[in-house]
Amino acid sequence: MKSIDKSVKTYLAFFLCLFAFLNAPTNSPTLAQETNEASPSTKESLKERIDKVVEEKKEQVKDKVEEFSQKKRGFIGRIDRVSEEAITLENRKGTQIIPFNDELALTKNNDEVSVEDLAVDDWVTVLGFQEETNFSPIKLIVSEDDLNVRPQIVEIGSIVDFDQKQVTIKTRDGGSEIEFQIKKTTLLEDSNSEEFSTSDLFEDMQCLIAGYKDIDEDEDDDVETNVAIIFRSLAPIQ
Amino acid sequence: MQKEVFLAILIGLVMGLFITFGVYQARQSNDQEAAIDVQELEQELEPTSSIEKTGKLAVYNPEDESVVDESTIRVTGKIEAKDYIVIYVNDKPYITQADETGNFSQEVELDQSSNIITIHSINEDGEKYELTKTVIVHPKPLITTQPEAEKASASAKTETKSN
Repeated sequence: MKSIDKSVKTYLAFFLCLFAFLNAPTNSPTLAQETNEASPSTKESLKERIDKVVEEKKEQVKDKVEEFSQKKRGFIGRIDRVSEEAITLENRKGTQIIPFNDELALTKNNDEVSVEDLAVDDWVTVLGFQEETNFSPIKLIVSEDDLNVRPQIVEIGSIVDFDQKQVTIKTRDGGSEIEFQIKKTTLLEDSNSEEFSTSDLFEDMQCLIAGYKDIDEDEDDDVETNVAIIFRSLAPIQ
Repeated sequence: MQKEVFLAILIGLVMGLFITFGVYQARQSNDQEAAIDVQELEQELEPTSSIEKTGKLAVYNPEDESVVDESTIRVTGKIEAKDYIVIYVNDKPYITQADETGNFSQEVELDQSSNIITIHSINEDGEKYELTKTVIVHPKPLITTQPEAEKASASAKTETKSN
């Protein structure tokens, strides 16, 4: 019995000694660190650093808040409806309602106009400030012109037919053939941006065309013509 | 006796290693959490991104419905390497090409007042994407700020007094 007690005691003693020894290296740096951190000079410098960082971030946050609170926003739209309280605009993003307020200035050709001067189908440019989800209109500029753009067409392909006034290309996406008018204003350039003339065109020439769709609405049936603004050869012209 | 000593050393060693590993894991987890917190804080302080994307085409600049006071603007974005980019400013097209990394950048002239900027991308196979942005050119300030107005009135008063 005595020998068992002795062996158990020895076992426990060894166990505790080893346990303490093996944990000592792990815990001691932490304790040392904690002791260092707790020293008044370190505490002070740490506090100073924290204060400095907080000050810097405070400035950044303030700048951002000011930037967002005074963010200018501008867009265009076609007047769909005019009432005494607001106008309803239609644009590529959908419907926008602009309420009238005392700050809103209405101008047309740099002259001040009133709400009565606004008409359905007029195009307007709206300027104001966006504050989170609220938009405050400041200026509403009425335009006599249609501010919408012409339908655009961009194609890449190879020439299948051409003359001085038109070029037909076979597109690469589906192999369909599209005819483009070449006008006096059409810019013909190669891959090095060197200009060339229609006499340099040839069959199978690889090209990229940027143009617009001209829709003639006077006829009974709308006639759509593609007009090339820039004709670019994808290779240099020698 | 030797057997017991050896057993005690072994158990002590195993326990010690186990605890050391536990402490190491806990510290690493704390460090990771702290790093994530710092990252989240930095992200919160970053300005809101205005990147708009459609398919493979991303446009970084300009921001949609922005108001600028200059007559030119740089259109930047990303598409696949070497894809062609056609930028229309209202009805005027500009052609450029993305570099090997897919980035593109093109300075364009703006019209007075409203500008509808449409960015088309087209690759060698004819695959197309497009994005449209509205940019308004307005060189003057929208409103005279209160401090400026006060300054102006104060300087006017000073001038009157001195006269």
